[in-house]
Amino acid sequence: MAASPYAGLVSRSVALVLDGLVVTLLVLIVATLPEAAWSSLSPRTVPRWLDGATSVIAIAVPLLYFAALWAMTGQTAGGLAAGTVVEHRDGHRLSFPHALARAVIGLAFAPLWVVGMLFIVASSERRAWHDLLTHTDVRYAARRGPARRRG
Amino acid sequence: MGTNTASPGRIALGLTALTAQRVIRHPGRATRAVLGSALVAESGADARAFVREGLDRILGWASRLAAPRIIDEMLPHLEKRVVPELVDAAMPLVRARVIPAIIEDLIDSPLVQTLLLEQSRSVVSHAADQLRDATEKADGRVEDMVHNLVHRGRGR
Repeated sequence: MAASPYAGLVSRSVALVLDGLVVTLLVLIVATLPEAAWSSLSPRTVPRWLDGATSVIAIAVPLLYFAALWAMTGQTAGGLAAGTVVEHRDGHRLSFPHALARAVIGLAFAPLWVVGMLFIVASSERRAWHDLLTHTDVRYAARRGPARRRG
Repeated sequence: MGTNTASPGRIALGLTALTAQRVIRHPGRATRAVLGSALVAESGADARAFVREGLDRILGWASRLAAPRIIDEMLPHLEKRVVPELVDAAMPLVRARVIPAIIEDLIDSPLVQTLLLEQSRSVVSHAADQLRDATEKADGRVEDMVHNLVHRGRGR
């Protein structure tokens, strides 16, 4: 099969799994750290407002993680490790609203996101359902040093 | 009334005159004195040459014969006893003072920090490159596999 600059199913799945681990870790830290700090500093029980605030932040963390990194560099931590970069279909970096919309769709419909990724192997441009929906492409990131053969 | 002062010039002149008078009075003594001093000078030079020659011989003998033997006999003793004792005595000091100081210097050294950072970056970069190579190859293989399955399905 001809080499493609578009990232394939395995690369994108590896990136997704790594991002899942990073996000889980971040959410755990955000959800537990403030309450643990409160418990160690104050004899009173954790107030409701702190509980609510940490819940809101814990929900916002994955959205902000994906949206901010896609908008800033096109690469999340998983993408950096797997060598994939998310771009607008015209080759530009995503704007923050665009990246946020992609993140909301991905997190709100996570099972569909995963199933939609299977469509990558059938697409000549290796696009998943959410790529078609949000007009994005996922490509292999340019490497430093001598170029290597892809495929 | 005139003063009776004795200047150094006058004293020297006086002494010279006195010596001349003695030489004139006792010419035999003067001759013997001159001969004696020449003899003492000559004997001193001979003695110095003799001592120097003797020292050279001793040093030559020591460097050719004695020193190698002494060293050969001392080496096992040095290896078995002296050096281990010195090392045992020095190690606590080295552990307590020298090694921590060296480690601190290494930690604070910008060159070492740069080297470690470069090494870490290189390791991470190498691992990331390997992961990317593996996933890129897997991308192609998975797609080939799916396409083969699809073609077989159509062929039937």
